Amino acid sequence: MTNSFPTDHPASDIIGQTSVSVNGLSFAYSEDRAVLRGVNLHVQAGRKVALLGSSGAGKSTLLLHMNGIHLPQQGRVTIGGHGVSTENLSHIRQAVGLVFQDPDDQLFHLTVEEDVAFGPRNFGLAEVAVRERVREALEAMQLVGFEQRLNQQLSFGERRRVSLATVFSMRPKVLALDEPFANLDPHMVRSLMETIRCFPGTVLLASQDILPALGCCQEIAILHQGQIVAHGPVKEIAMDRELLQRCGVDFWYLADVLDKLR
Amino acid sequence: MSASSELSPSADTRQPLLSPTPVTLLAVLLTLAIVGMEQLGELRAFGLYGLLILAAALIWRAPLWPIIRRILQLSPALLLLSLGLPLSRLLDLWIAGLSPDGTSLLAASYWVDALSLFIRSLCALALLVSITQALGWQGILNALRGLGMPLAVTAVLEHMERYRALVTDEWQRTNLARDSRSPGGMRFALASYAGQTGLIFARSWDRSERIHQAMLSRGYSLVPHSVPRRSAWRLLGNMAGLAQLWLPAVALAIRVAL
Repeated sequence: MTNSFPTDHPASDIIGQTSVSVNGLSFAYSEDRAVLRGVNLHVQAGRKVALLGSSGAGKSTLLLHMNGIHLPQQGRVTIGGHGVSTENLSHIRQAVGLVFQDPDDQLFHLTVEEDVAFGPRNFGLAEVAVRERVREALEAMQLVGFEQRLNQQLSFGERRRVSLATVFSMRPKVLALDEPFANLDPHMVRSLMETIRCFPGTVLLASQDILPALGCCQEIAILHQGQIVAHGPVKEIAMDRELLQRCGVDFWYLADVLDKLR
Repeated sequence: MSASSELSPSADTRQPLLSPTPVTLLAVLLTLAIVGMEQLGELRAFGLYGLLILAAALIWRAPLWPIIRRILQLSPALLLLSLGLPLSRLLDLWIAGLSPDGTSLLAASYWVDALSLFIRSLCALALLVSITQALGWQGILNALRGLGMPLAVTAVLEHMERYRALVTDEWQRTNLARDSRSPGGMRFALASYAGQTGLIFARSWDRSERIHQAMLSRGYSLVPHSVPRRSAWRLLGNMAGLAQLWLPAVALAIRVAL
């Protein structure tokens, strides 16, 4: 994939300060269903972090906080030093692009063009600027010529690329990806890894597909039972097999498979 | 890959000769003319409407076979609905304790009305299927926006069509799951329909939550935004050109019908 990501951004007060900070974040869907229990996480601007955890660990819920879909019940989430709150949701949502796990949740218009244009239009851009954004987002995802294609007639991989384009058209500074590698073929996984590697901003990537996540991120944070239990450079965390096993994200069994093949 | 819909051809297929806005406007007017007819009186009026629709489908370059197939699929349901009037009358008679002896107790006008309703609904359906085949759903929505329909309404229509595609897709997947674990056949299919419907409703509920979140995450704030409307002058030009072609035919049709 070409990766000609635009770098300027309309939310001027966030430019250049796109670190992500989560302090003491707690969240429960109901009284007896606490998902996040005092999460603490700091991601420096421009870093790419893989958020690993078993099913139900709270990864998706944490990502929904990045964009202000969920607001903290306790604690604080800051993007570029700005606390996520109802007052600045517009700025936050321009700065943080959230890609959902299922492309069918993300794509609710009929055509690719309409969907990619949805975000820029919501932020009040002139039609000429919207068209420009759509063009560059489609180019970045190698989707030129797909403008008038119907979303329901695209393959899963194509829909995944369109999902990313819908977010890139908003020129985000932070990219929050929920299970981006799920159900993709190996070629598409490599392509997506390259896209994430080349993205100039901060990336927070929640995934259970551990190897691709490790391949395109510089740090790992492990979310276990609603808390960050480890956060550090990829090598350091990935080598701690005991920790990975305890948190249900061990991938070293793959090494055993490779040994068998040898 | 999702199942493609007959009513939603991909936008890169054949292009209609006329732009979507006048075509849509004409279809709406013609549908109103057909539906608004008072009485079956002259059967030939329906023949004329049929010819008009056929001509329209050809001019709009709509593929004929899918149109015919769709009409054949839906006509039994239309017939059943049309027969509602005489059948309900028969039911009234039966409840009143009168035994219907042939047609004498049921005025012929009931059956004529039913036939009229059936033919009218068939004509209207043919027209709507033709225009959908010719323009695609997105083309019709663009045309409706061009004609000044509120953005909120077209946005809802657009999301409904996308939702329909998703539900169809899920329905097909659950059908496959059912068939893979049953000997097959209509008996097993019928037994599972209620469960499948409930399941899809429950899944739709969850999906609607997630779609709303996806909309919010891209700045949606209950105000729909869409492409700017076409220029009024261009629309008028289209309409003027079209009127020369169609108004005499429509006028003739209405005159024959009345």
